[in-house]
Amino acid sequence: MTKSNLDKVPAHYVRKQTIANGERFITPELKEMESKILGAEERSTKLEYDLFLRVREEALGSLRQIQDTAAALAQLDVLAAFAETARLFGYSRPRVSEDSVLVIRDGRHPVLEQNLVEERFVPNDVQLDANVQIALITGPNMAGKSTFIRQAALLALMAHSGSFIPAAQSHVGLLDRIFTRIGASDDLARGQSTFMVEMSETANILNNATTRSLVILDEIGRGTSTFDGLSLAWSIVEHLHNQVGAKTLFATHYHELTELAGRLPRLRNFNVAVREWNDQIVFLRKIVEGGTDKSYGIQVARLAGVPKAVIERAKQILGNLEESELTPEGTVRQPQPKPEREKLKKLGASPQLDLFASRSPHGASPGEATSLQ
Amino acid sequence: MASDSQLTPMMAQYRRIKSELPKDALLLFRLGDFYELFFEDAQAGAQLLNVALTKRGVIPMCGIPFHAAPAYIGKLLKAGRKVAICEQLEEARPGQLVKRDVTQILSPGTHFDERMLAAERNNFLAAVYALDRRFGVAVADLTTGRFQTTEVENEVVLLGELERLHPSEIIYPVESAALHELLRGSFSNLSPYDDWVFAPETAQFTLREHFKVATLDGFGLKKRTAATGAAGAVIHYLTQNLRRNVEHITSLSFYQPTDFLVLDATTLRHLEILEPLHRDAPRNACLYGALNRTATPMGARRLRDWLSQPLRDPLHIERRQGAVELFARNATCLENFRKQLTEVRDLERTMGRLSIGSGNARDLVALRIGLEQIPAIQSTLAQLAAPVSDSGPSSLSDAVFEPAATDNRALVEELAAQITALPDVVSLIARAIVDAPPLALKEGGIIRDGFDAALDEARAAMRDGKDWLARLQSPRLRSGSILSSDITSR
Repeated sequence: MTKSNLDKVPAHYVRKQTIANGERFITPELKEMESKILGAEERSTKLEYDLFLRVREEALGSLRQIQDTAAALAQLDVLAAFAETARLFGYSRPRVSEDSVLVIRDGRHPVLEQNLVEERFVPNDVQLDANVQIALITGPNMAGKSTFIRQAALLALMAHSGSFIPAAQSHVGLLDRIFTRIGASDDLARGQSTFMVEMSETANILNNATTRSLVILDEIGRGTSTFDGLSLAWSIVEHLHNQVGAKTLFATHYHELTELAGRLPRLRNFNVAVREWNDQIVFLRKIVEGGTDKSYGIQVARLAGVPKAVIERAKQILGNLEESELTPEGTVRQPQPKPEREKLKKLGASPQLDLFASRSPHGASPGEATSLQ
Repeated sequence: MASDSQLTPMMAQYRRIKSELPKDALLLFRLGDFYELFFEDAQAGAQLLNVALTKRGVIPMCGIPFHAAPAYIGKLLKAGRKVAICEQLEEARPGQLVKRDVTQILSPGTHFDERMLAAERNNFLAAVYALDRRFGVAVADLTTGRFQTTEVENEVVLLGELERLHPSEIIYPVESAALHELLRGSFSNLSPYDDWVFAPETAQFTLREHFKVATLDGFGLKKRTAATGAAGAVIHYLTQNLRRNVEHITSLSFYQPTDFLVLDATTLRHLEILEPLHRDAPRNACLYGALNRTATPMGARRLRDWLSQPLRDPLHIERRQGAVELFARNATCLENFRKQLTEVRDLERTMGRLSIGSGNARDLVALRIGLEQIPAIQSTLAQLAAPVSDSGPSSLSDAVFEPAATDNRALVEELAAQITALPDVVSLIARAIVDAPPLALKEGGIIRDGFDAALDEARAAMRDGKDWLARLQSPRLRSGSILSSDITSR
């Protein structure tokens, strides 16, 4: 009640509180109704909570059935998602079997394919079987070697998951493991020695891979000196061929390794198709059979924007180096450790026993291998 | 430190509750609108949360406001700490000590905070136990009820399997220095736990009690003592150490890593299976990102499993291929199915929350909506598996399909048979719970009118009271002698 109205307050009003501009009153009937309303409110929220608990209990009575339903729906969800992706990107159903093969026709990279906007993805083939155990892919960086070998591993993995794969046709033999040895940029950040990481990953592969494994090697021995690296890569490939027997895709910039094809019967050379035009190069991103004796490093440097003067000087030096390779030993002017390179070429077959030599019609005996030089 | 006799009754209560907790748990003690931390907990908490350290008398203290608690608790869990939540169990009355007790203990591997959980990832608690040159590993996702165990032969495989599972927390026997040394290098959030809990006899007892079974052979655990030890420890840790309700963990599955195509951590990372190698790359620049067209978070989690644990049995692979082919060839069914699934949402985690007691009325509504889709889904699947479905329109040419050794329908039929509609649960929730209930459980507004007579009566009484007030106000309004605004119910 405001002060002006105070004289009109009926007698049965009880003063409750005095405030700045008047007084508050309450009547007995108001008081009674207040507690009635509050009581009903309290009763109703309590009842609601109890009812909620009851409904929840009831629903949980079917917990097991709902969990089974959810598990089945989760799996169907994935299967439908596989189908949706297959429709959107024209995947095909791989043939899976116990055979020792990995054959992919016109395979595409599942991730890059979806992210490339302008460029059309160039499909590639993979053929690993009883005759081809190791595919050695040479060519410069940037040309798509790494993409190619990763793609092969991804498609093999997808086939094992039950998904269709981005390829025209494929036959995937069951694998026990996929091993990878790929650049160590992320380990650098952790402060580990790149070369140590590289070698421990390689050791893991050599010790644990079986004839049923797929091994992906992206450059070996980059973290050490050229000849250390080349020698290691050479002997690792020999070991994979003669001892381990795992299907292997090996991308390397050591084009010297292409010589191994003459020594190891189940190794094939591949390279990235390149079109040379007026000293310019275009990578076609198509993997084709055959080795390469050029590394295109200087052309790549030019593509990357290295100053012209540096490029010209590098060409000059390269010319000298290549010439020097043709000159007989002893007359080399360049600080090229030529003897090692030559020795490597003259290397006999590995001392390890070739597990497959007796079975393979293409198997070259150590004597034959040396005579090929 | 003050002895108990010198403490106020409330601080004595604090000391009693704190003394019953696992040593490494921070106690969040509810005091009105705040959770307070005292003593050493206050020092640790103030530093981790970057809040002011104050004093209550001589006792170090820091506090976080109740309404913002989840964010702070999240920080503590991220830092690898356990958090015990102590609530007031009754209304405060002047001059009396309020009854308080710990309602739950949260840990990095067992929390339910939606903001910290990635919907498409499991949040695993793992246990590792070494016995007779074998390692037992068990993992549980409390948010979904998923519980698995395995045994591995050596350290390398153990680390590989753990890296694949990526647990948020790992428990191991406290006395096992070798395990600690091994795990320390690759994992954080290690929680050492009592040795005897892992012992095969204890673990067997724990598991038999939990699953209410006489033997564990049905779970494939016969002679798997290392796996049994790890699995038993998981249940013991959840129920005894963290005092959690684990009723929704209704089964345990044993698997062999060699049943699958093995992908070690290096390979998963380098091939960019689950995430891109570089942090700043777009999230879909990995195989999972390119293939994730799932309609529900539970499907997304399953896809991650399938990609990191591909099959090695040609028959099982062909069963999946068969189902994919059925879907791919029947565009109508595929589209319908994916649309229907979207409404189902995350049934697994909804059930997880409801059964652990942290669920609210909105979870019941989500459960109803999810279950309501089932009959339509069942009919879509029946149509899909019907022999005529091959004639459906298809954008894939027949030429791309190799003839399959198994029937394409086998897996779809098997999975369809595991789906139950539960119309009684749907109708109960529909009759009881309003369509858009509030998050709070104790403020009303949850239950529909007409569901319960006693509730209707109480609500009628409230309405009557308010009507009565309205009637009281109106004649006096008209008389003009007193200002009506002075009449209120309070």
